[in-house]
This record gives sequence, C-alpha cells and structure tokens, in this order.
Amino acid sequence: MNSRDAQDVILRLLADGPYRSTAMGGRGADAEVAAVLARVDLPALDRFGRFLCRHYYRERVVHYFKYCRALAPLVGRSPEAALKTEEFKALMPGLILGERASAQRVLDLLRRFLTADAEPVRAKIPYWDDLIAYQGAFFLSDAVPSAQPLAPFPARAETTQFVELGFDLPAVLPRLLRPFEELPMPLRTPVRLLLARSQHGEVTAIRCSDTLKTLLDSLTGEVAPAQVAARLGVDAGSFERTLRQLESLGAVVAQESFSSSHVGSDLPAASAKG
Amino acid sequence: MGTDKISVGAFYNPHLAEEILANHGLIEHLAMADPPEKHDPHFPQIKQRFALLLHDYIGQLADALSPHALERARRLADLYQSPWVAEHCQCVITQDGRYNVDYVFPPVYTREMLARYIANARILQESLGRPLVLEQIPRYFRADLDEISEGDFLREFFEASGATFLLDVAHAWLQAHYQGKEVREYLLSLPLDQVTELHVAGVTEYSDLQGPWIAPVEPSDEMLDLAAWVFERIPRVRGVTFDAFSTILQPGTIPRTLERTRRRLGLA
Ligand SMILES: [Fe+2]
Repeated sequence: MNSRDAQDVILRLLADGPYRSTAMGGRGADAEVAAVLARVDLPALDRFGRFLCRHYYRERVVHYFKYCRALAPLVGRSPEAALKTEEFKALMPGLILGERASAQRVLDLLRRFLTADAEPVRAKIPYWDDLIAYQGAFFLSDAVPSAQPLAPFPARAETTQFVELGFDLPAVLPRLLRPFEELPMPLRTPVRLLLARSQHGEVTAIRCSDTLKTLLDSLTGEVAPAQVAARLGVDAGSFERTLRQLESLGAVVAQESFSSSHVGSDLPAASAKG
Repeated sequence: MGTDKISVGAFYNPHLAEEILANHGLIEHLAMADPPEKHDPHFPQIKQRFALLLHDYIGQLADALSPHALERARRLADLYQSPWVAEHCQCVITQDGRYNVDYVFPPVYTREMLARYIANARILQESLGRPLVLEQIPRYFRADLDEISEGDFLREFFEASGATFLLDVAHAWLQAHYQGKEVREYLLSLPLDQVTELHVAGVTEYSDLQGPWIAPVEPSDEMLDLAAWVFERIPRVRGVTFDAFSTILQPGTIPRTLERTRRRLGLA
C-alpha cells in the first residue's frame, strides 16, 4: 500500500462510521489496513470522526433549513438543535458522510424533531410541514447518489424528486429571510416541484406540470425517445430539446450525452437554487 | 495589492456586507470562500472597493484536478482579479471519490505525496496564470505515517512548485498544542521566509474533541501576541487576513478584530 492509499484508509475511517466502529473493535481489517491502524491514535481519530460528522450535518442543516432557522424565534426551535440531541449522538456511529441512506436517516430525525408537538407551530405557520418537505428534499439532494446503471435509453435519474406542496411556497421564501412584521403567507394551492441534481452536485428546483411529470415517469430507460414522444403525442423535435434540458439539470441520465449547446427555454422559467 | 505595502483584510461574509462596506479602509482586502450569490445586491460594490482573494475549494493537490475544477477556479480568479489563489495543504477525498470528509484535513507527509502536490500545483498555476499560496492544516490525532516533517514537506513544495506560504497562526497554535510542542519552536521549523499571506484567527473548545479547534471567533490576546511574534519573521508577507467565515459571525467582530490586529502588528 502506498502513502496515498494509506491516506484513503484514514479518510474512510473518518467519513464512514460503521467502518470506524469495526476498526475500533479490532475486527475485519486486512494486513495492510491493520498496519495503518497500528500507527494511528484510534481513540483520538474516533473523536475527530464524531466532530466531523456533527460538523458535516450541521453545515447542511444550516444551509438547507435556512427558512426554518429564520422562523426559529417564532416557533421556539431551530433545526440545528436536532444535532445536539441524544438521538443524533446514537445515530452517529452508523452514519457515512455523503451517503444518501445516511442523509435519509438524519432527515427522518430532523422531521421528527421539527414536527413533534407542532400543533401550535402549525397554527401560527400553516405551511410548516410544506417548508420541512421542501427543505428536506434539498437536504437529501445534497447527498452523493450511488452510481446509477446506464439504461439503453434516457431514464429518469434516481436522484430526481417530486415534491408535492399544499402552498405556493417558492413565491414567499425570499421574504422569510428578511425582517417582517406579518408572517408572509403563500397562496393555498397545490404545487408540484421537480428537484434535479446535476453531475457536479448543483441542485435545481423547477415547477413541474402534469405533462412534465408524465414525461419523466415515461423515461424508464427501456423505450426509445421517439417512441415515448409518439406515445405522449409530442412533437419529436421539442421532445428531444426538453430531454436535453432535463439532462443538463441532472433529472435525466442518458448513455450518450446530449450536446449542452442546445439548452433553450422550453422548461418553466421559475427555478430556484437551494 | 501592491508589493510595497501590507494589506489587512477579512473574509467576505455576505450577511455582514453592509458593515464590511462601511469599514472600507480598515478592511483593505477580502478573501472569498464562496462564489458570490447570484442575487447578492452588495457584491458589485464589494468588487469595486476591495481587492479580492480567491480562497475557495479549488481541489486537492494530492490528485489531478479535473478540467471542471480548473475551469471553475479560472472563472472565479478572473472575476476577482485575484493576485494569488489559495488552497489548503489537505487531502480530504479518497481516490475513488467515495469518501469525503468535507473539512480541511492534512495529507501524510511522504515523498510520494510531495511529488503529487508539486506536479498538480504546477498544472494549477499554469492553468490559472496566477501564483498559488498553500495554507498549512493542523492534525488533531497522532498518525505515524510521515517520512518527512511538515516543515520540510512545505519547504520542498514551495521550492519546487514556485508557490508560496499562507501561514495560519491559529492552525500553527493547534498543531503545536496537539503535537505537544512549544509553538514558537514549531513555527521556526516552518519555511517562514516563504510566507505571502498571514491568517489570524481564534480557536474554541469543542466537546466532541475534548479540546480546542478552529472556529470563526476572535483571536485571543495570546494568539495576537503569537501573530505579532511571527509577523517579525516573515519578510515577504503582503497580506494579513482575519480568517473567520460563518453565518454565525456576529456584527462588530470583523472591525474589532482588524483594529486589534492592526494595533498589535503595528499596521494601524
Ligand atoms: Fe486560515
């Protein structure tokens, strides 16, 4: 094992809670990994691993749950306080930084924390649950997806999420971050958002019409685009343009990358970066 | 930033933009840890009034930088007109990309790692057409995997790559603390003659670590004394920066720290 590989062993020990727990217990390491472990202060490494874990999720909670944070004085709980609970402490040894399943477990904890005994909160902020759903979707999109096997034809990316809301949240979100006297109230109307994660980790949210949802649901990867277009009764040219845009956003994965020089303006204009 | 005068600055914290603009003069330059938000109403004025330094995550020099990373860095450095670009002496992502600690963490100091850093730093500087400064990172726990000392690693890196040193005083204090060394003696083991930029910062106690670590807080008087001591020993320094970048940074902290820093370093 060269020194770059030895560095990787240390990085995995820090980022991967279950791997670290196994190493701390002196089990399961092959001879080369054991040689690295023997030269490291493992109890101190474990403390640093926990510090990194709390830091990692705190950064993301602060960033993605910024609207809940802005409302904290009104509701008496801030989302990052969830990371100081015994429940989170118990979760830490099982978490892998960046892993989607770990992010889901942290998100479940956050949801429980923010919605426990929340009736008085909902009475003040009727869209509280929508807010959590919206921010939670961004939080989850941040996690690194597992490699999706490439299908023969364009397919909906596994990281693509639909978020169904009861309020038109995007319209009021910026106002929540500025001082207000009266709580901004969005329109009560069903809104569907599509969240896509690009290859480079940029997350985009756009309003998603029924047509767009049907289109994405049709992209199983097993049917040629021309056939999907015909089935949906859409003009083949504009269908392909839409596919290109969806791929550039990361909502669609395709074996042969579309050219990115053709991104037009067919998609709904309202888009938000989280 | 000229070559004759030492510039004093801070990190651009967008939530404190108005205070930063109001303290132009006391603050001469701003290090940019994140690209400006698309709708940041203050950035055009910030860009106009302050010298900007690229201090974003470019990539880790332990591995080849991707064309995407180089292009992103080039775009930002051009936007800022950054006189130099900064990276950390860190290795935080595994080669297969599976594990990322997403926090500064130093490499093992070996000949092999040094060769990687030199090769990739040369490519980076050539690609950006700007010089690189490399910031040293403390190690919290003992790992007996080094072949050479941190000081020799940095010295040889600077000599071979043409990059220079971004010395962080708080990082040095922490490194000495966790290695059980006397901090001034430790500082003298680093290539101080290569320092272009000095970071002044504070540390705070963390329960997970049962001890102090990097934090976006004001430096203590002891830390400023240390900064003043090392400031006398870095003849090529061109910038002194208060290293604090966080949404929890309180109003008043940057101006107060820069006044204290200027006074203590004789840069009032
Ligand atoms: Fe620093």
